[in-house]
Amino acid sequence: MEEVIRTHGLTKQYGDYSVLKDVSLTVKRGEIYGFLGLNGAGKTTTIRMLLGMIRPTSGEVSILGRRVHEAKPDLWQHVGYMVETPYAYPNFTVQENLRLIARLRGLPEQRAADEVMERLQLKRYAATKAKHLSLGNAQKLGLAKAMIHRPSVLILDEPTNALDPAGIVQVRELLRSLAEQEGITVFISSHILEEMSKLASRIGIIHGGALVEEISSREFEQLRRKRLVIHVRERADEAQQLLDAAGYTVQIASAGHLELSDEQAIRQPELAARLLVEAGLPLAALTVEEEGLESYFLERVGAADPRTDKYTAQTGNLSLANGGISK
Amino acid sequence: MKSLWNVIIVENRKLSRSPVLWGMLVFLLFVTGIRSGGADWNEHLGNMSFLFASVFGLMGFGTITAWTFGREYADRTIKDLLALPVSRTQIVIAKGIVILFWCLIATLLIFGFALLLGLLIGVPGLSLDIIRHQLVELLLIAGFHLFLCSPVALLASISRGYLVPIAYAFTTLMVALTAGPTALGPYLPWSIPALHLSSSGSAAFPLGSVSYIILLVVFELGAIGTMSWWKRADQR
Repeated sequence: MEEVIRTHGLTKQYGDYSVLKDVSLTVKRGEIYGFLGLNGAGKTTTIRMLLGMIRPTSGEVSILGRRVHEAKPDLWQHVGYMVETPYAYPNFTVQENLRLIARLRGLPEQRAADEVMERLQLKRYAATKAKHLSLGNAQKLGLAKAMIHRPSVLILDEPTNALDPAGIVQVRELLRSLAEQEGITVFISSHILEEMSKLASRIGIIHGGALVEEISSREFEQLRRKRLVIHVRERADEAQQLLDAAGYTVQIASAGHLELSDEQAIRQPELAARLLVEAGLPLAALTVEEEGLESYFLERVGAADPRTDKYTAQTGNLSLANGGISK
Repeated sequence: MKSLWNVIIVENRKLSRSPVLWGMLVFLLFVTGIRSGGADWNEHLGNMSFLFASVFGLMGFGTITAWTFGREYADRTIKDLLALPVSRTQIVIAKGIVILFWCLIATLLIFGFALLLGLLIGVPGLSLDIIRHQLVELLLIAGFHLFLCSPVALLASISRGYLVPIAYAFTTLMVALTAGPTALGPYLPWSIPALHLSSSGSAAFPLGSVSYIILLVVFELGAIGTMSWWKRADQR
């Protein structure tokens, strides 16, 4: 697979302060690369370097095989971008702002503006001045400016910020279809971790200016720890012994419920439930929980708060009637 | 070349829709109106030229330049101009061309307005020679002031806004008014246009060549500085 974006040993220092430390990453054609990091981790600096807005102290950046800081401006005909909160000329309408960008990119103004407004469902705001747009629609205008020339590479900094749930789904589907059907490469930074896990094919975690981890979203899902949580109405010790004897690894949590982390328990929770019910131990709840993305991320960057609960219920509680178990 | 033309069209659209341009023009016309009149057309049009040489050029052209460059930072649209299939140098040149165009339009409008006012209030002794002489003088002074605009563009880019360059333009006006009449005057870029005007009866270029060279040097430093800043400085 062809490398579309490549950074090698990217470092940026302001005096003694290092903003980026030796960041090397590659993004292949058609990939959606999610770039995760806390505020101030170096996400926007990296994106600005990818776009040639900031020169690295050392290291290099290439897009489509061309070194960004030495490339001629025609490189940007292939790249669409949105950096931080998008802004537009406040006294110009949505359509006029898009026509300005179309003209700068040498496109037929009217057609390019109409097409991208159609794509992002901005037509009804065509005559609205940018200063009167809601945050979400201003964000869409920023995306429209990034996509107006149908680039083969999209570099987007927090593109779903300020969008409502419908807008988030719309942008997610759009980016996914651009990557899957048109082979467009997307480099996207976001702090909405759940969103990133749904969208990105690969994820890079940056912290303190260094790339901490780079994994595929499939690995990301696998690495998130899961557990089966069983609440029994009474006799928790007896339930633990029973499950132990059946080969499960069981712990009693401080709240009094049982936690099982065996793969079989997570895959087939009904078997553990049946065992307990048949032994006359009444169940109050049976839940498969998985480690929250936030806690996974914070653990990776070493900023986890021990007071927070790491786990969240996965796709709702399992009903006690599940798998034919009932009282 | 086509890409430069595209940027010129965009920059022209942005500036021509700007309230700053039209507000400034109304202000300049108003001041021209209240300072009009005189014993003859030389005095009437000379009053207007003096306003240009002393105040209009530094403040009027300076404000338009500060706005053209500084608004990109104030409106936070600068990042939309930094990774385009058009070089950043071309964007700076296009902005410069549009500033030049609109400052010359403003100059001609003010000249036409002064002519109209002179006719309305009945200033005596109008001739084509006077019009031609005063117009050439005015355009020359406008040109000198345009040379002085490039440092304003550089300051707008470095300070990332239009307040600092407008403050700079105001300061240069104060310096020109206070230090212009001294022996330093011919070497101070901002007082050179007014000194040129006050001595223009004797020759087309009455000041020593060093004064005109200073204007050229200031322009080049400002223009090269602005282009280098856009091209090389970190745009955070």
